[in-house]
Amino acid sequence: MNTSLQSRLPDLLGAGITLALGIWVIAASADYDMGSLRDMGPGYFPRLIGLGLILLGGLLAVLTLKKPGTQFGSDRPALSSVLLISASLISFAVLIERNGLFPALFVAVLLSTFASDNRNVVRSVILSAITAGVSCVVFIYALGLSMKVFQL
Amino acid sequence: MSDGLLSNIALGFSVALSFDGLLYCTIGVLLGTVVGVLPGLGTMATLAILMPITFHIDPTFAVIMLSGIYYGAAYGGSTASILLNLPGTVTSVITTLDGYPMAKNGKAGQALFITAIASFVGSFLGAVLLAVLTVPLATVAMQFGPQDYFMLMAFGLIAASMLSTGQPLKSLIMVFTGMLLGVVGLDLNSGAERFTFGSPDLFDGLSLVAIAMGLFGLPEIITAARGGPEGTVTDEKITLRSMIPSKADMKASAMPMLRGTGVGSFFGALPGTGGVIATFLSYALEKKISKTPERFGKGAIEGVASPEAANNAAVQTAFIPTMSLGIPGDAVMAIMLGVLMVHGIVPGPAVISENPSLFWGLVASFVVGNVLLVILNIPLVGLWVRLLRVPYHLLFPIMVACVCVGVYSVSNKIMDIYILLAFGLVGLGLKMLRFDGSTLLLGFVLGPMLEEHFRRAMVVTGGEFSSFIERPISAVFGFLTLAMIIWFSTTALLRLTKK
Repeated sequence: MNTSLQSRLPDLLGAGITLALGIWVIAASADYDMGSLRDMGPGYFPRLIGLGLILLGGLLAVLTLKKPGTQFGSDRPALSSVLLISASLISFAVLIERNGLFPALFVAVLLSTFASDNRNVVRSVILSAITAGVSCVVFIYALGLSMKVFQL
Repeated sequence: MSDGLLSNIALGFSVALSFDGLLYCTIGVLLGTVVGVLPGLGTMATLAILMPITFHIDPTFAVIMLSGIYYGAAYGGSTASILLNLPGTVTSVITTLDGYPMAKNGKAGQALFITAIASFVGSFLGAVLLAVLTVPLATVAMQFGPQDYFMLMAFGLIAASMLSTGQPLKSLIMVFTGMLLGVVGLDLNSGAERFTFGSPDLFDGLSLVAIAMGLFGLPEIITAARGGPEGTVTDEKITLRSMIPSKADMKASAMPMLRGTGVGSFFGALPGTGGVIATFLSYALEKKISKTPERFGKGAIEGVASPEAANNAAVQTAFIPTMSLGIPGDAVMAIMLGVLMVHGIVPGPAVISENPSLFWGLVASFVVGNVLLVILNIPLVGLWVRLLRVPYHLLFPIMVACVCVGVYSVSNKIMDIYILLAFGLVGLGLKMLRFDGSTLLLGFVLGPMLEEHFRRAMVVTGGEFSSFIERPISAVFGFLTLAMIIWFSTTALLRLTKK
């Protein structure tokens, strides 16, 4: 890739997203009553925010084209970590009301342990069981959250 | 007045020294020290992850514990800076400049000792300022009209974006995005739904916990999953004896500590600015007035003492605008306010008079916590050094469990878990594009207040903008805001044309 484009890409992308967001906000708040300056309706403030986003996004785009901006962040996470942590959270969301805190946390923590360099399954299982068990004690018995512990 | 102050201080200590008060304060400073010492585990992430747990304890103790984490991390952050050349927190970046060279010169123990003392001095004096200034300020704030609040908040938001660690323009975009997220939910005045997409789960607005955890907690967990922080710890044994600095060093760092406290207290109390700026400025100040500026960067003790005092003073005085005006100066304070709001405490000048034991208990807990921290950081420093060797993957499951349970337990809504996940991905994207998420959080918390005060001001004056200039407080902050914008745009333009 062209280096001059590469060094502009992060900020151009940011500017593009900002502009798109601003335009979307103004379009979406067309449904809300704007009212008047003296008596503002629910649509007044969102329109101002949308306008601000468009102006700032445009300014960022212009400035970046004049002078290259920032590089991409260096600490790019591994895709597998992102997917595993996402799966971990989704599994918790699916299991918590159906099966209770212990199984939900067990599965969530188990999935998440594979996001690190660890590939030791036995250790992951033990770690997840301990974490889920201790969490149940702390959250349900000590802090008194109303959640069921286990249900098939 | 002084009589009232004394009885208030007594009330504060009765709260802070009660069994629960001591317990939560100790938990807070312990956790804070751990978080501060471990590079790669940030203060914001920890506060965001643990915030929901505190919804289930008394608000006073909740804030005592969360604050303990905050200032404990400010103490502990310097340990990794000195020993590893890796700052444990953002505010201890400056400490690496002279702290690490000191450690390399075999003066690690002394650097740690001076750091602890400087932190204590900064914190203690900051807490005294908090105790003395907050009540008068709150009394003045009782007279504030909506215009004054609006301008003060606008000033805070602009200052936070101009002076943040990121690019000012991009931070300003984050502020606007945050304000947009704050709009989501039912409009308080008209009851109209805004950006709810018809989902009843969104009527109350987006959850602060989900956003804060998503933006700060999840990306940290995901990026840290692989490897975690690296660096080798010096094997040098740090004994208590090796920590006692020489008389000359003590004398050389006394004034820098006080100057650092001054700089830190000022920038901590100003909404929108804070510890990071205070450490940079106090370091620059010491270098400027030093007779031997060439020693800086090679292990000058002033270069450690002053920024550490500044950092810790700023942490304490940051509570002044938060507690007296209900205006958070930074993302951490936004979280503190969020906790109070969940407990049904409306932030504003009336908080102290309505909940005296909350405010004075908090102030007293700062003093108690700082004494605890000196004990934790001087005789027990060896323990923290060993902690730097704990494998990261053991902390990992605990963080995941706290995130899952935490975000769900706030209102038992599964939707919040998905919102958290969405913001986690957004947070990763922001990190890659180098946008500063903390200004987004500030915009999210301040946005609805900004709208409310703006609307009220327009109703009161019948749509006349002149009242923003006629009211002195609003005029002063409006002028400052404008000056800041002009200053930053001209310097940016100059840089652009000069190439």
